[in-house]
Amino acid sequence: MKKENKNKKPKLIFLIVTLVMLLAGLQLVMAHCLATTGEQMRQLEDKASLMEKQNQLLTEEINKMGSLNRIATEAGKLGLVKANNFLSLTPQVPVALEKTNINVGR
Amino acid sequence: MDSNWRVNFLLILFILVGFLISARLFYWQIFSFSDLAALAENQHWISFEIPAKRGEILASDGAPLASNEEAFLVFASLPEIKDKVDLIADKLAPLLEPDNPATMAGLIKERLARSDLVWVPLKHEVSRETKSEIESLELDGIGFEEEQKRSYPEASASAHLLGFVGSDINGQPKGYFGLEGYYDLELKGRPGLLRREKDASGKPILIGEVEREEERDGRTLLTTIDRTIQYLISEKLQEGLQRYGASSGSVVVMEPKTGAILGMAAWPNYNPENYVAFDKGLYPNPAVSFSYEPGSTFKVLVMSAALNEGAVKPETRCDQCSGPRIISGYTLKTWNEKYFPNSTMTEVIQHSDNVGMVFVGEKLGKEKMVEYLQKFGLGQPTGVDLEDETSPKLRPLEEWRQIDLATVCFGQGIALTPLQMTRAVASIANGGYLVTPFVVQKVISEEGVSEIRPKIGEQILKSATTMMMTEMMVNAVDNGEAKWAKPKGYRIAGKTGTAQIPVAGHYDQEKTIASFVGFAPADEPQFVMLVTLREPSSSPWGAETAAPLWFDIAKEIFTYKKIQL
Repeated sequence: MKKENKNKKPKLIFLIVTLVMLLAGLQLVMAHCLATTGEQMRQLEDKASLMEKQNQLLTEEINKMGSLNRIATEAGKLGLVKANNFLSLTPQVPVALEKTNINVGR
Repeated sequence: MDSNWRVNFLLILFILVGFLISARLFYWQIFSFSDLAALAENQHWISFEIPAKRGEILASDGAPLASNEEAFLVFASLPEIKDKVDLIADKLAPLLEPDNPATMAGLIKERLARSDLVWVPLKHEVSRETKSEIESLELDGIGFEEEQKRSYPEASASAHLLGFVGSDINGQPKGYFGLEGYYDLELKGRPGLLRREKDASGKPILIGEVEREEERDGRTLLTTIDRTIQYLISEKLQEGLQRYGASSGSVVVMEPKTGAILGMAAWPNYNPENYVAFDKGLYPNPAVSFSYEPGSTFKVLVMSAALNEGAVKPETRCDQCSGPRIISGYTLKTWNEKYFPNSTMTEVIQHSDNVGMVFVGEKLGKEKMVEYLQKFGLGQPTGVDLEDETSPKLRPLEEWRQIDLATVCFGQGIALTPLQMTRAVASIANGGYLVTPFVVQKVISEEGVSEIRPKIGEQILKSATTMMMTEMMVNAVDNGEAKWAKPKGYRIAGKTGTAQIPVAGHYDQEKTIASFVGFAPADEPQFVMLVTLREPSSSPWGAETAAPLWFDIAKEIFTYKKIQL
């Protein structure tokens, strides 16, 4: 009975040591994962913030480019002028067309 | 006995010390609790305010009228400054204040010389380009902090309508005048707060507690302003002021059926991005905050009231129009001293006949006159969503004298704002309903969109009255003094006005306010517009200044809105 106990003791110690080493390894892996994930997260956050900033800059640019003041100035530089005489085309069917084509209604 | 004395002494001493400790603890726990808690809080928590983005103001097509731009605060960290203060000031001043570098250099020197501070702000709202230029100087101790700046892409075209963003007494951004002032609460949002535990040296503890109160950005306003019409009226008004030599002027364009403001411009104006460089007197919007005597444009309101009450008809003949009228010792004449005996009411409006209008006023009577002025919304603000609206008071009924009744018939002796006049005439254009003018049609936030519906008030004029009045106004345009300027083919209902300006209890003989009010197309009005010009020098008359400007703008609107003949 005593001999059996003596044999069991080293096994138990070995088991505990193995378990501790396993847990330590696991802790190392976990810490590594956490650290790299944190770094990845930081990079993603930086990227998101950069894109947000670029988005804002582009919006500012669009606002400036789309301003009617700027468009009028640019149009003037290109030599565009306002049309003083213009013709309104009425949606009504011209009388001549109506007389020649009886299928056309008004 | 001896030992008992010692025991008792110790006992009393312990009780006394115990009491003192308890009292001190009581003091700390009860009386000084809040102060000590705050001290402890400051020792192990660090807080950052996360600023909320101010909401945008959009035109009806979604284009921004007011937006936000990235800007920077330039500051100096005094312990890190290595160069001489004079050298830094001379290098920075021309970049920070190109218009006035000497004053800026003085301010920089003064701030950099402070020995009681470690951090001093030098200039807010510096552009990205200026920041790059300063960075290239490689000055130690000069840093930047990101902030937001209000920008107005259409520059000063809508300055009076939009207002501007300044600072309140705590240095926080605050909207003043126009939409920025009226909707300041909606636009400014609520800043967020980030709280983190910190260590003894003040650095954040990475695994410490973090509390975050999310910021809520300001709401965005979608307005009824048509960007093209706004630009158009602003440009045309400037041209008109130069052409007619007027000192100031305003244009209001409104949708008569709903009261939606399509455009509102006044000149001279200011740049809302740099409002401090302009005179404060330019900040209020003249279209809603300045009152004027309307002159003959007011005749259409008096005539409408008389027609509505059946006091006169368009074909009623004036039997007192053969010469000047003397009322309460005052002689009332026509504007050109020409008289048209037995003229009809249509002709009275066409000739803008003051004596004929006195006849109408007498037919209507004092009580009905006051009743209709109130019905047209005079004497009270229109309720438009702009901060600076005011309203001149309407004289109480018991204070009306016979001469007051007579002069009000041709728009003298009564004051109103341009927007009040536009609103009153809109009721003739829309079948008799008094509408409430409005500028914002939707408020857009993260929670959703809330729509602001037009407020259509009571019917103050019968439909038949508005039709008769419209025809009289069309006739006035086609055959009146301003017929030369009218665009051919279009049916436009309108009326000219020339009012003398009251100065120190009497009317100035030289200075006038010329105006034209009208709507088009007369049969299905899409817009009602009022043009006012103050002290035009080319001619004092509305028919020769405000009317051609009105028609000039209307022609452009017809083309833009595809309104056909």
